[in-house]
Amino acid sequence: MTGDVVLPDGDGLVVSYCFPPYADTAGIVAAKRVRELGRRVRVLSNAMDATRAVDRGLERIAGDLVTEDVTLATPTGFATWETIEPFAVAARARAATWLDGPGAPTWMYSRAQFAASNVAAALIAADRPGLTWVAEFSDPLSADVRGRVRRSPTDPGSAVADELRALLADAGVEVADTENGYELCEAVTFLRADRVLFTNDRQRAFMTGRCHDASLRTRLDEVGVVVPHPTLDRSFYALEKPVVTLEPGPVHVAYFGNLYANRGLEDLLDAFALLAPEERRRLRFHVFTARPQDVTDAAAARGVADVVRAAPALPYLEFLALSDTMDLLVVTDADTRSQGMPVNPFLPSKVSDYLGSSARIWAVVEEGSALSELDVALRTPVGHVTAAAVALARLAAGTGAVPRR
Amino acid sequence: MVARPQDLDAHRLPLEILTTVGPAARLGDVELRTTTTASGSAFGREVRPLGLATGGVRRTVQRAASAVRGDRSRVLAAFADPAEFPPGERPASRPERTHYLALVADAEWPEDVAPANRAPLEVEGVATAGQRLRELASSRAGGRWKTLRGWIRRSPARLDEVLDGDEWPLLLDALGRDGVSFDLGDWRADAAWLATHERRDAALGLCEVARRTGAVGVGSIEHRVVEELVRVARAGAADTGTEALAHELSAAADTALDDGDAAHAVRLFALLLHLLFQRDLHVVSESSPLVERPDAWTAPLRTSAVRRRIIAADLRARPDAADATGGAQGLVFLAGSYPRFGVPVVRALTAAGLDPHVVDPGDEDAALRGISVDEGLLRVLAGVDPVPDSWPWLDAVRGAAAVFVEWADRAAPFAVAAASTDARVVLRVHSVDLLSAWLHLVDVDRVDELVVVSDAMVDVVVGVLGADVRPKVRVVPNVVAADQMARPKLPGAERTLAMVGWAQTVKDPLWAVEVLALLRAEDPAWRLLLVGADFPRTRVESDARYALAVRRRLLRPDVRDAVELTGWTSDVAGVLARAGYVLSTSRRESASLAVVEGMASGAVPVVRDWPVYARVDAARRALDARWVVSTPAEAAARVLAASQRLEEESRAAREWVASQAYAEDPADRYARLVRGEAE
Repeated sequence: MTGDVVLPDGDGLVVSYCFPPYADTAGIVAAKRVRELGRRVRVLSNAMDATRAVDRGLERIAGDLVTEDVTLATPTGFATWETIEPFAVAARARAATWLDGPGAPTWMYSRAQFAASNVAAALIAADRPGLTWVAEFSDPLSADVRGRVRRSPTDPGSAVADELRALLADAGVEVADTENGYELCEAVTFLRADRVLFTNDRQRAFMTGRCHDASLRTRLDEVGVVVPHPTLDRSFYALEKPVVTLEPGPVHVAYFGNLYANRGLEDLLDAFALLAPEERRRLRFHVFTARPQDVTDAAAARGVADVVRAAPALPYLEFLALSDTMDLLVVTDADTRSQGMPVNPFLPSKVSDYLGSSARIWAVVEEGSALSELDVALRTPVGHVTAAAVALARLAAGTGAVPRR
Repeated sequence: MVARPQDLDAHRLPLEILTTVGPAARLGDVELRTTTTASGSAFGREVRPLGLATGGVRRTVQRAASAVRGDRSRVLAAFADPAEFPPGERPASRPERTHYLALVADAEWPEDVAPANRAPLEVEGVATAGQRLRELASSRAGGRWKTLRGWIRRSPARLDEVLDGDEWPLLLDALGRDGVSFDLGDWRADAAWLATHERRDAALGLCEVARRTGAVGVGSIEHRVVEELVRVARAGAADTGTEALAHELSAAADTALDDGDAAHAVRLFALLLHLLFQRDLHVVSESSPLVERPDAWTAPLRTSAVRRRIIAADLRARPDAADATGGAQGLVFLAGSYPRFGVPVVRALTAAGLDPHVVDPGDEDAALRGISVDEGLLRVLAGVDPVPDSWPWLDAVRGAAAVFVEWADRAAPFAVAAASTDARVVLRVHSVDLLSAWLHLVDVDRVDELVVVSDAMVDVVVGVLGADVRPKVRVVPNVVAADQMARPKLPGAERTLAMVGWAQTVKDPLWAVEVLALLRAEDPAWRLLLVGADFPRTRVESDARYALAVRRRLLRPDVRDAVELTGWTSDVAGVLARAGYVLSTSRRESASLAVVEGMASGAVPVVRDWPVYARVDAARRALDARWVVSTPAEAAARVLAASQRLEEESRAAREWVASQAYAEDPADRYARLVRGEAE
């Protein structure tokens, strides 16, 4: 996963604000990275009980590769400086005891989201110049899904923010907004990490292009590397039993994950509503998401509640198991063109889980996105009700059959 | 048992009224909740069980739903019960069962539903809407009209069908106590607003309520115009009655102006524009009276004193400046309501060294974007309201030595009225704004050059504006990057049709689908590429209806597996490489850029005789008569014939494009127009 960087011998240190057993994509991907590396690690994470459920099944991903896991009781939040700074300070202190002790880690991996992970890792890297640091960004931090500047204001008088600013100033690096914690996090990581991982080449181009400082752009050209999200081996798809037994006959289409303003299911539900009832009933659309009632309401309002099954999001291993029983798994691109973004830097992480499933993939894509280039069974344009309806009609008729892998 | 979204929307008003007392209402032993979906366009009524007795309610609902199955007209709203998952398929983690309520119209209950089970639903059914209005009438004074108006504007339902005869006077009386009198300021204005915002049922309903209650203004010209707008929209055609009413309306507006009531005059004039230029008659139809009989159709405008006053608007000086016309310099380019069309023109002007300063009035004030009638802007042009201070773009126009107005849209009359008398003014009009109101509000005498993109459009513009404009009309064809389109055709192109930019009513993709169906009847290898974005979401009834018709047609088995919807693409050339034929099936085009690009790629053109402009023979004059057809059957025959000698036809198409002005650089021509140099 580290491109051409050869990690030194020895154990690693993983700094991941969220890590299993807390259920969150950020932690799951970090654990998958550990498994992908196959190296023993010690983990520093935050106690996420206030905002995240515990899913013990997630601990099986990294398994015994985690030799020690310290969960720091710092404030929990998404990206406020009030949560970033305490975690960074506590992680730095705890890491010091490991790095000064026997069998000290020789390399470090961190991943944002959450930004706190890379901020903490930056402080640790500053303390230990010899430590090889591989940092990852799941998405741009300082830009939102509409391409607008996203801010996480630093606290006035924050010692950590001052230290980050000093690191940048010492290197002669300028940032556009020194009060934006997201920008500080990105810039310091770009400056100090030995390798910066991006999940797709559009993200890399987008984040590089947003760099205010030319020297950082040059450095990213050297240390930036595209490494797709890892896919777990097939055994993980059989660790749990499917929680839903699918009725035989219909084609089962499923969507797993959260819904956003620019990544929703309205178009698909509209497409279902275009089918004749007898066609529609040859299909089922299962949605597992944080707010299933919204989907149920939207389906009822369109008169398609007879084939739409909405339910709360599943624990990860149950999701993998159930995905394996479906015929078609839907993944949708964010609609960024209508927001005026020059490229689509987002690649949904669920794609990596879908790729490991025996179900086929239906990608709803924006032209030029990373998702649009994946080899999938079915591809329709984003924001295109007509294309989705035609695809569904073919599925119902059996002319758009998607044989299982 | 399900209801289609359109069924729900049709009954939205009574249901909204039903629950206006709060987000939830008790109904027997269940709670009735209002649910707003993510789209905000539909809604549901969810009944959550509050106790064991819900079984009875559920059975009632199920029996009622079962009884009315197959007869949707009797169902106000009926929702599936998603809790009724097939055994074993219900997610184990589902938090609770959810039941849905069926509302059935009064007296429609099947006999075998016990009265005890009917009563609560019946009570809360249609009759409750009146009850809620009574509550509104008896609520504390103030804000009642606003509340009711909100209901009316949100709902396409007909108010007259919601209310009992004795309920509306009750509310009228209450509104009167709020100081609301039913004169032009309220119901007629609202009815006009509804009628001109694609809410025709609601408009008619309001008219009907006014009629029944004897409200002021029944039978007035505004009332009759609203009813005529609805009638014309439904028929998709006007008649002599429409023209007579337009003349009467024009005269009424002028009378109001003579009486010193300019605001009233502008309101009536706005209605006149709505009547003459409603989109169902011109923009999306298959013929337009503006093309068929322009003299007669625009006569009420030509005689209008209100129009003369609007055209005479002089905006050259800022209100706070004595003389803003001195020292004019540079070229200002108005981007137009659809700025992408102006991009090649700006590029050409820049290449000619004119350094255009591009302004986008719609960016500064969204009201300035678009081509539909806007009464607020008419008030400004007529001097009823002042020019907003927040229009810096107008200052740029005032100070320019030359103004290029791209599109005869809402901003165009202002730009022409603000341009210095010394400035050269170039106005470029497109197919759709030739059929819109704003061109008629521009002081054409102040325009030096009127640019269209094809010969046939010269006839159209002269038809609607009069022969006097003929000397200043210039034809400058669109720019086609022919060399960028030329790529080798890919395997399969010999049986593939393409249509680029398809998802609009005016493009009439149904016509293309029928061509495909005919070809597939001969050979199932034929395919159709529909290139471009999908139909936009819209509340415009005619567009929504058309989109639904296309989508349903595409799902039918004879074409379903042979259509590829590419979505929007930046690589049109790449898509065209997959097509041997390019279709232009539009109801109206001035010179179809898409088909010319297709021809440049080597695709054989198959062009419908664009019906709106058939009278001026636009298709044949823009292209070549041998490619123009009148019916899908002729189109299919043309394709089949061409397929016998595809290489030769392909070459002919490319050569034709190369021989036309399309391939020429228009920079010099635009530069000469702006500079006032002889062509």
